[in-house]
Amino acid sequence: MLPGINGYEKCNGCGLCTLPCPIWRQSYDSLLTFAGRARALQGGAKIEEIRNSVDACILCGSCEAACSMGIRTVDITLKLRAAINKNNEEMPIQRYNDQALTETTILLPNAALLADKKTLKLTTGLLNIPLAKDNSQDILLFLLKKFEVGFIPEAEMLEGFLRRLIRLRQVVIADGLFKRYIRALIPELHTEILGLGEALLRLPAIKNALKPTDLYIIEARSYNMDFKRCMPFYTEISSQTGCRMNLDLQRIAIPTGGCINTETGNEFTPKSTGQIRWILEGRSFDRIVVESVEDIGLLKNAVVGVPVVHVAELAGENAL
Amino acid sequence: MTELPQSIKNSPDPVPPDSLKGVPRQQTNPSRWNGDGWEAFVAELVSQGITINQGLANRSGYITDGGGIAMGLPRGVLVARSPEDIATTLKAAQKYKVPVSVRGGGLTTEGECISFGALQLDMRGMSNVIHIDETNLTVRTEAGIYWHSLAEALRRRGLDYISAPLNMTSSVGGTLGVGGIDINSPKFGCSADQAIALRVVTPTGEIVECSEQENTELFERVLLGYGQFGVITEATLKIRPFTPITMHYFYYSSLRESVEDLRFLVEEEAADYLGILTMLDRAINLLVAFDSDEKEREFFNKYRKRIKGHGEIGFALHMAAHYALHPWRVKEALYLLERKRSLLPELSPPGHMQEGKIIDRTVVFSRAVWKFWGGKKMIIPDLATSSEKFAEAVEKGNEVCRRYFPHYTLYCVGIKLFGSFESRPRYELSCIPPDAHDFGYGCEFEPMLGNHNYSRDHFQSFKNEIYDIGVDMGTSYYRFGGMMKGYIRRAFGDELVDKHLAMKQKADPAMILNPDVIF
Repeated sequence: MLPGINGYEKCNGCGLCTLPCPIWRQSYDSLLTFAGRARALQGGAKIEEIRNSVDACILCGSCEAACSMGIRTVDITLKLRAAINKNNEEMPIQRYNDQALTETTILLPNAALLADKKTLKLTTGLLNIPLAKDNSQDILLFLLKKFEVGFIPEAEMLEGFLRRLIRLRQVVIADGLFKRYIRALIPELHTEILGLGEALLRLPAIKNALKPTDLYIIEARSYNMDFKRCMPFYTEISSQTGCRMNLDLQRIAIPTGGCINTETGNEFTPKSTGQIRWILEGRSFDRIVVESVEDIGLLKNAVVGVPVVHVAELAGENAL
Repeated sequence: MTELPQSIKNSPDPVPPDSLKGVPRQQTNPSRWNGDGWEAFVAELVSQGITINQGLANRSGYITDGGGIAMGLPRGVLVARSPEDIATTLKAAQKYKVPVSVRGGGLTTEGECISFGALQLDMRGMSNVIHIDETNLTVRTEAGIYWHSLAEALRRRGLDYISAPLNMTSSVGGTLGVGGIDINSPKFGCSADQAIALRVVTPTGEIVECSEQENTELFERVLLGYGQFGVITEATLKIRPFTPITMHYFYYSSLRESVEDLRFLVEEEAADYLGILTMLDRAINLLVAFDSDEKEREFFNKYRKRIKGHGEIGFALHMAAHYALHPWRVKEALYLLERKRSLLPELSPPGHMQEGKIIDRTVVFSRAVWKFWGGKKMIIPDLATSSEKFAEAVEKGNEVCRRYFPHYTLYCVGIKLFGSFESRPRYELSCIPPDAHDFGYGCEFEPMLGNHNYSRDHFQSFKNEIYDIGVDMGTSYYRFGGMMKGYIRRAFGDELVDKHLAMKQKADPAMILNPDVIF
């Protein structure tokens, strides 16, 4: 057993998690998958021997959604990554203490959404979430960056931040990995925690604008890491609107690669081009709708002659 | 007993003529290969640009198979990338006498795909779909591909495979090598019967195209050949338009009645999908499913009244009455109730249903299989019989299950045959029972192990008792290789086994390809 890392020993090698794994699809090398890591550790391999596998993972959560044993695969991979990277940098958490809160809903954006002012304005307007003067962007972005290298802060470290969130009615989170973390810490009964796409799709104006000829690209992390809750919701949307989604036969979201982190990745990290080819292969559509700002550019580069729009844009030009 | 030719007696690894006597009753792993010639073998492959991964992390992934009972660490792993690489490797393996064990999804249960100290060839490195012919309804694919991945590629075009195991992580090549049974096998036969053409690397390293028209003998030997006569690298398979299926369940408390109804429906071709899944021998579920509304209507008009199964409410009342009269069996009743409560919703999950129809049967069943039957250890002895012997074989196997395990499941299917043993030599020495005509039948006996820690001896004794039934009744088995290969001569007879052994020795002079599976 590796100290502080457990759960991998439950893996029975069924292989269901390899089916949606982006690295598997691009390498067909089982050691680069979660199952490969788990079996290697079960067999007594040292962490260093699976370093390439740990670093190559894009943390899309597809293995966790697929696991028949209910293993928290993302947690294990993050812990392995933290053990490899030995990242113990202190966090500037004190700023969160005792901040006044007036909103009932808050949007926690990611770097890409913050950088896309137009989509950010449209999103906050549609969701009726004013951008707070101090919206904690700096610490949020710091956290998101640290998550990628496996640094998961203890709940006590974020006490002030969580105290703020727990009083809210709804928290909308653009980053799927961060949403997973927050969902684990905050009881659902108190605060509703949603992904950005899900929050927007709840607006009738947006849902009704989806067409059967649309290909809707779900942000994979947000969906896969919250699979049991998200799968029925998106199934219903697809059923009501007729639109296709980037789901495989297990109803697991195929990531575009928009979440690929160049700092942690390596030569085995799956390429976006391969991911998008997998999503588009054999599908016909006349518009692509994306949840994640990062995906707009990726898909515009991949598909010629088909409009690519952010889900917020479905509300129309005069929505605000 | 037939006297073996001297050449066979002196061969490296023939099946012992005395079979059960020669193989201990508590048969376990084959002995580990001693490694003679390994370094030179690897060096020769490296000189030809082929890398064998010898790190522990890589090798650990191959230590066991789906059964989790046989254990063996390979000395090195080669992830197959091309037929040429495989051909080079097998030529070197012949030269240095290095055993090569081929693995796809790794879902054998008796250690058949495990390498005991030699080379593991992982075919999943060849998992690309090559061409989908939407006009002629065929697909050409690399054979390491999981059926799930193939299904996904086909589904995007509104197509589906015809028949594949109810397990998404089976590989196409591995399945063609052993048969491949689905609940639509009563209609379409086994997966191997869907193959139109194959590319095969022979044990001596030749790359050969084969089909029913070209290199027919190899084609017939490789299909259902348990990996003895070549490595399938590509396959052309029949496919069909995708259809969601409508599933109905009929409940029985009598095994014999359910098996007889299964046989009746199979032989009448009354449904598109048929199978039996039980909870112990108390709650027996006959699955009947349809690709079309017309077929469903025809079933209810013509056949429903002729089978004895209850609907859900009728069966619940029947069971309530039974346990009211047998109150000392309350624990069993509670187990059945809990099992039903947790299992049945998994067979119709909302995300995989559309207007009451199942749209991803393999996903639904495969997830259920792993969730409710899967575990680190699985033992699934089986019997494959003719129609006439089926009910008796199931009942005898059930009695064995009852004695060994508190909880178990039986899974029964029918298999349509396409021709005789003469016209389809692939059926010879396979899971197709030699006395079957038109249809064969199979029953898997699977204990629910839960958190119990049974010994290997307990498992092996259980399997032996099931297999002894087969020997006594003259049946075949789906899983007769690996740790159960000691039964081969008893089940199939010396003449047939010697015939295949001679063919194997001719095709694989050093006997290096998939050793200890059959020979």
